[in-house]
Amino acid sequence: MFASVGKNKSIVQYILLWIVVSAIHMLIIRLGYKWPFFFAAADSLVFNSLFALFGIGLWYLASYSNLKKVAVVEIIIQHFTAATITVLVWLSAGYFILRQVIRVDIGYDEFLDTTRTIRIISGVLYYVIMMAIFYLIINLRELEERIKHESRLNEMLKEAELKSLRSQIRPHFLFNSLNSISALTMSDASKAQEMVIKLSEFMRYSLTQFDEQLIELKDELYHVRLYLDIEKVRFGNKLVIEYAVDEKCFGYKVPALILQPLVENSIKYGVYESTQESKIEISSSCQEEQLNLRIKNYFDPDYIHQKGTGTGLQNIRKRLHTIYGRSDLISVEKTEDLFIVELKIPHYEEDQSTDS
Amino acid sequence: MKKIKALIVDDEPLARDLIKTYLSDIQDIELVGESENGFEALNQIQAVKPDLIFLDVQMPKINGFELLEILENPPAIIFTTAFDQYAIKAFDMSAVDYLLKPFSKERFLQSLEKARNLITMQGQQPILEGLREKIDNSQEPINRIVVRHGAKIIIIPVDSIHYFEAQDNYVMIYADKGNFLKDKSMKFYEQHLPKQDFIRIHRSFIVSVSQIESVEQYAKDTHLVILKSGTKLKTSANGYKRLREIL
Repeated sequence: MFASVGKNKSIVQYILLWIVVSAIHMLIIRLGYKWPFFFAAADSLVFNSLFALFGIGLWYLASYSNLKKVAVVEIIIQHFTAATITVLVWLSAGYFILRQVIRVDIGYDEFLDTTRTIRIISGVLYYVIMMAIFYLIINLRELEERIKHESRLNEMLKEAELKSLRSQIRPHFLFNSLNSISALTMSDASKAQEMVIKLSEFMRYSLTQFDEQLIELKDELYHVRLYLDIEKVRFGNKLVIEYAVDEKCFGYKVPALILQPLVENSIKYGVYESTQESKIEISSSCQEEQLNLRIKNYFDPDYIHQKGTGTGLQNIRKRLHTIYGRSDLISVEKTEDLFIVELKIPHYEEDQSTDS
Repeated sequence: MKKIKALIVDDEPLARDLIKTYLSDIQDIELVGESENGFEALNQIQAVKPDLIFLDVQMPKINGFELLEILENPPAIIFTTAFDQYAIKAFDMSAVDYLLKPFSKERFLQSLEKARNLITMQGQQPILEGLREKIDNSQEPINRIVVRHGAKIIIIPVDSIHYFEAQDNYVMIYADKGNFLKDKSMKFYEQHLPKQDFIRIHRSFIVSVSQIESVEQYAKDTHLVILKSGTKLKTSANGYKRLREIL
């Protein structure tokens, strides 16, 4: 309450609480015991401000005696001692001060003596209530801390997960592309240069995009095209690519690198595993609320799929779920020789300025 | 001196071009053909009988290893691969060389030198056997088996297989498409088939779990596994134990 964040706020709350208690105390003496206002106010002020001061000490006692780690007996002894000392010192000090302040003898002295028992009882009660509140606050704080810590951990986990879900450029692709470049340097230097530049641009994009980042469809498509251009150099006429992208969708925001793994998959199952020409079609359409992206590839029906197929799609589903909170944004259709993946990208509300 | 006949097998035209360019000024090697997949390669190997093959590992339908498996008298092989950790492991100790793409001309010449030595010596077979064994020791599960049926290559998906039967040093594979003899050991298949789908029920049999119709008591210690096709296979005591664990 006094340490750590929100210190001032806690002190104000503590003082307010004691003002309320003091007011009740005063009213009891004024109305219940029919003492004049001055006596009631002095009585209440002295006892309550004293207890409020002691309360600060008790707060530290509560903070440092950990309920979970210390044995029950020890805690009971600790609090019994603390309560006894607190109440004794509190009452003696209160009595002493009041006797010094109120010199007029109209029986207040006797009043103090006759109400000793009830004051002891209320002292113990104060102690118990205060300790209860303190422990509650401490526990709540710990809980809050733990929740904060957990959510921080979750965030980190999510980040790590996203990182691993990101399209990972297959080393296979990289080294084969380098091999193609190596061949081109001897036969067609300018084409080799063109490919080096495309590969660099593509690599740079893949390495610098972050997953939470939303980018314009135009940019994502540009990089998909770079990738496909490189594959086209590798596979020549075996790879046929058709684009049917509506230009009015270009400004639409999509998660960075969301298409990349899909295109990689269609290359992997279409071109890598086919002995004949293989076609990939990329198309898009958009309305106000939603962008539809569709990637279609033909594959050889004789090809025997590796087990574990589908993890790439699972990852995209997860990513879309992380970003948009929906799990119905990806659909997959498979026929005998055709594989179609369709993505629905909802309009992203927080960023309306660039999306028209 | 007789020239060495070489064949290039790679699905990427530029990768083939590179090897062709490297070979262009080498006098004792004659390029006799190029293939862009395993099927073409098998035909060419039978037609031109090359002494040396530059063989890409990753190719459509059947990979370089699988092609090597079905060759009866395999010539010297130089594998070329972009990135294949298992392959690298498999080759490590082998005299048959491998080239990691992209490779330099120097590195290429080195492996040609190895190939020359291998071809002029007679003993290439045992080295290849060693290589095969190394490939077999990799722990990668298999999902298809490539066999040769005359001049044809047949790819058997593992999930179309009913059972395997040991036949001397070979294994007979009974699948949807028919029966095929394969030059491999039962131990290899026991290790590399998906563990939850296949059980070794006997020294001579590995059976596909999905093909089992029922199991019957036969004698005191033996049971009969009855397949959906009607075939009955004996189990050993240990085999029956394994069977009961899975079923």
